[in-house]
Amino acid sequence: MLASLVQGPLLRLAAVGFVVLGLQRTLFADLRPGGVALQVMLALAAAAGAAGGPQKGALAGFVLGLMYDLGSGTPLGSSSLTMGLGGYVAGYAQSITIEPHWWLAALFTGLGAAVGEAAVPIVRVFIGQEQSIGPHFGVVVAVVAVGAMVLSPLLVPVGRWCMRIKRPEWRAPKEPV
Amino acid sequence: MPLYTPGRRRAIVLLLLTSALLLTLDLRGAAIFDSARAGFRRALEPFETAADVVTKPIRNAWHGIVDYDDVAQENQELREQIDAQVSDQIAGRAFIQAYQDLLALNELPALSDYATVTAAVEGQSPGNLDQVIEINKGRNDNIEVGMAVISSAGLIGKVTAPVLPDRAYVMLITDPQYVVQVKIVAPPPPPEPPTTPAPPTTLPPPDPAATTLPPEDPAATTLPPSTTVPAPTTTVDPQRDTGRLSGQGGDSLPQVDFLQDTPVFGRIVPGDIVLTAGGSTGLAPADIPVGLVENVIQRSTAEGPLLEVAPLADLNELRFVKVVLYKPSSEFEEPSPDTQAGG
Repeated sequence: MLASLVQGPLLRLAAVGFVVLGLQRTLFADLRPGGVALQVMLALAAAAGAAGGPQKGALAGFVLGLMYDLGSGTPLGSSSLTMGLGGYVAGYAQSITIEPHWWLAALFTGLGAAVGEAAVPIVRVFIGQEQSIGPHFGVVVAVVAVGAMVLSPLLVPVGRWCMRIKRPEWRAPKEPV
Repeated sequence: MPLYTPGRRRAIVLLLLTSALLLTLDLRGAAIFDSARAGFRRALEPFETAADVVTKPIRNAWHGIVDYDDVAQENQELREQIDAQVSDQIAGRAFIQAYQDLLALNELPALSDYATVTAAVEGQSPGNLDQVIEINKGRNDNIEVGMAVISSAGLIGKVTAPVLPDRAYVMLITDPQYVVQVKIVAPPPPPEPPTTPAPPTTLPPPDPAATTLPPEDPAATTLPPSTTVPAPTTTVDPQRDTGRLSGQGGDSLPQVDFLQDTPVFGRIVPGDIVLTAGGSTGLAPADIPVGLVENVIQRSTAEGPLLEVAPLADLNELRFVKVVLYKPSSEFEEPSPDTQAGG
């Protein structure tokens, strides 16, 4: 069991999660382009999904979401749901390609982040918290998605390392001479 | 490999159910999660401190680029405001002192009667929906959920769950879940400038008693020094109405509804003062300044008007806050099951 924990993705994910959560609560809580806080934890979950598929994306989102909830005082499990969804969607979109180019991975990361951020008020309403969603929320989702896309060239390799994903080795069959 | 296999589907369903289970337990107030949060916060602190130090130059550069014009303009406006407020401040202090004396004389509770705990703001919400800040004082300083939190300008919010031993979270008044009972008070009319030249009797005579007591009022001279003098009947009481203030999110002003809109209270106009109403079930004590009426949205008579309130406190620039250790009187009595604290 200990071996599976060490060899699995959880330790790496937790270590990276602490660093990224520290950045989320300082740098990204302060720099708010258009008044919107970029969601780098969500972007990392989506990047893991874009690198490794829906299952790994959902797992990364679940773990990072738990860390986010524990560190930010939000209801425990609410961010796990939204970030898990974001990672799953990014992974699902990735699964339509064999090995996506970096820009395609960025697109999937942005898509996952957008879905994850859009799910936040829905989850909050489900748990009985009153939410008022105005036109500004569209801007929030768009900025979070674009931010995740911009950060994805950095986050996709990090997500790949965290989830112990190896690049598929596709080779064209040699032509008979 | 196929995208959906029973094993994969099981794993995802398991994650979903675990999240729902954690959510349910946390919302039911399982104490173990508070300990987990406190432990996690302790583990996170070094990472957060390091990130704060390392990224400070980046943040400074960002604010230097993005906010420079705003800061310069704000600085100029503030200088002008300070100049204008110096005289108001002196007059205001005299009014506050007189008000406190009056409350003490009538044995009425005042805001200064309640103990407060000063706390530093440690961080703002990293999310885009919650209007919550974190402070560095918690249960160890007798802070409890629901207590009002103020800044030097006025009410900023209330303590919300979870309250940890050494830190707490404050829900700002702009949060959509924030509700408090408030009253709207018209500001006192400015003193009218004298239209006629001062009568000769008010010119400074050598005897000071002549200026303080009108010679034709013999009753005033017979009152002992400690006797309270009732207010003259010609003084108009401030117009007053009560309603419910609720947050509308970070990009909107808080609103007040459930107003009665009766002519008895007078018409509410922009610039009227919004104060907490207090009461036996209100979580905030009475008379904490909240803000000024910014807009009055007229609705049907049954609904009453809807007010938009500009908070007095700058909620984006909070550094130090005070938690008012106040519990409503209903909290000390036997709680009835259907009683809900308003605000």
